[in-house]
Amino acid sequence: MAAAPAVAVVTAAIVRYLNTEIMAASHAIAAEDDLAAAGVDSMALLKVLVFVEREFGIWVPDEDLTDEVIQSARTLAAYVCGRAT
Amino acid sequence: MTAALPRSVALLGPDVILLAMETLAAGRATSSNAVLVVQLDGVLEAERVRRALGRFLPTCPWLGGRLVRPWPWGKLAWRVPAGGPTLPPVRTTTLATGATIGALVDRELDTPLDPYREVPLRITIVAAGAASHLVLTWAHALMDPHGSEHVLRLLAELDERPSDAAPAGPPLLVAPTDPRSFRERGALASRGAAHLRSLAPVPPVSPAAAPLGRSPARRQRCFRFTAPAAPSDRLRRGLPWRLAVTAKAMTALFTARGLPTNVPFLIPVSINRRARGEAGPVLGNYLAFHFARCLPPLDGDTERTARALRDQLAAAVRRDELEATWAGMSFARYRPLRGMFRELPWTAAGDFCSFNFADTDALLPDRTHLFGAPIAGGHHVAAVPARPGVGVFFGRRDGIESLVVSWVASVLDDADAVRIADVVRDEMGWQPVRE
Repeated sequence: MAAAPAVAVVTAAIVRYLNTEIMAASHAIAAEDDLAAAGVDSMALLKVLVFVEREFGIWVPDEDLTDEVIQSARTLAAYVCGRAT
Repeated sequence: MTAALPRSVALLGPDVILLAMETLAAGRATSSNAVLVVQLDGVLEAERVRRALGRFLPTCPWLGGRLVRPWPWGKLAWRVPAGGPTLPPVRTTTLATGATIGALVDRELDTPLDPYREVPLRITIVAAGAASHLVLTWAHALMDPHGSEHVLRLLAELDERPSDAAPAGPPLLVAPTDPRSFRERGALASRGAAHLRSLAPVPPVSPAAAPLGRSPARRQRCFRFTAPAAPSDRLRRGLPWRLAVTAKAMTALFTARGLPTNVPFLIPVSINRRARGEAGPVLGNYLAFHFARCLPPLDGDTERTARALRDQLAAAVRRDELEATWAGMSFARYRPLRGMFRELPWTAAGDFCSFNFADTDALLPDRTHLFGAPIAGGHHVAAVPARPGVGVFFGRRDGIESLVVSWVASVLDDADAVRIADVVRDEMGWQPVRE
């Protein structure tokens, strides 16, 4: 059975995706930054969730899309790692 | 030394689609005007706005140009006339006591800009006692709502400059050229066309069933709400939820009209392609399109409709359908306008979609002032095509949610608009703003 990925690894992957595919180069965001405040709207968030599904095989269902889970790249990564275990 | 700007700039695919939609209402006076209304807590000087426009045109002359199409098959483009760009008009007017800005916005929607013959942009400054409104009206093919906010932002920055000296670096005004090869874009466009054809078997219905006059009047009404102070559910702020809520309101309208409710709604949803955190290009509707389909939610189960719409959007992202339709639209520039809808599901009566819908997000979130006056609010509204004849636009500013219903006068009336707003308010859990 494959080991669950570490939160730091997943966080780094999400931040990298956000900064290359979603955010402007001059507005790079960090792991702890609030996604909504940074301008990540519902459509951009959907792209992030599809990326997470492709990379880590986990789709976040509607009922788990709480403000706490999608507050930042790190909270989303923590959710993904929690599901993976 | 900076290189001279080109004299013309080609339209993007979605710009051309918007122009093509007007041809569906051939024979009628159509308006494709879009309007941005900004409320200001202060008096606005028209001269400052004119001065800023004068500083703006050297970096973006096409706003003072005309729409041209080289005969016979060239790409549509904004071109600077031989004599140089024309300063867009800045008009001033006064709001009478007790009057609302709504009547003026109706007039702006009803007075079509002809981008082939005049500049595609005009500004009206409305004095209302110690306050004022800035009303920016443009031909929708020129830019999308985000582009219009970028124009205002740049004008405000130019107004704040101490002199007419050119900015240090040119602002990003035009969408970047697609770096993908012709072959790659062609393959994507074929997939996009296949996707659009898959939508075709069931043509949409719309409420614009009654015969329209030659000059159908446009009307709009803006409703303002506050969201509950309690921590809100993020899902309810998202696009699929708002679309589902609008679908519920439209179901009530369609049912009242006796329209078939076993035919799925078809709703084009524009998706902002700009990188987040920056304003992005001015010119062009820099948008990808998603074509949402859902059965009218007769049981009123908004949650289920929202989930289905979100799943559709996720599937569209997984299958790259948004990129495919974007690439497909870029090839539409070479076609005659009437040939663009060959693959799309529109009825002989000209129904292209069931209703229009947009969520323009936060208005000018990074500005507190415009031309020295504090921003107190604002909203976007666009003239809807003669068919479907109704559109709903969401937006927000400083905790105030705006909901604009835009319609063609023979399709809806004011009471219908109020009913639509009531359904949306209830489903969103909003409270009306006490004016």
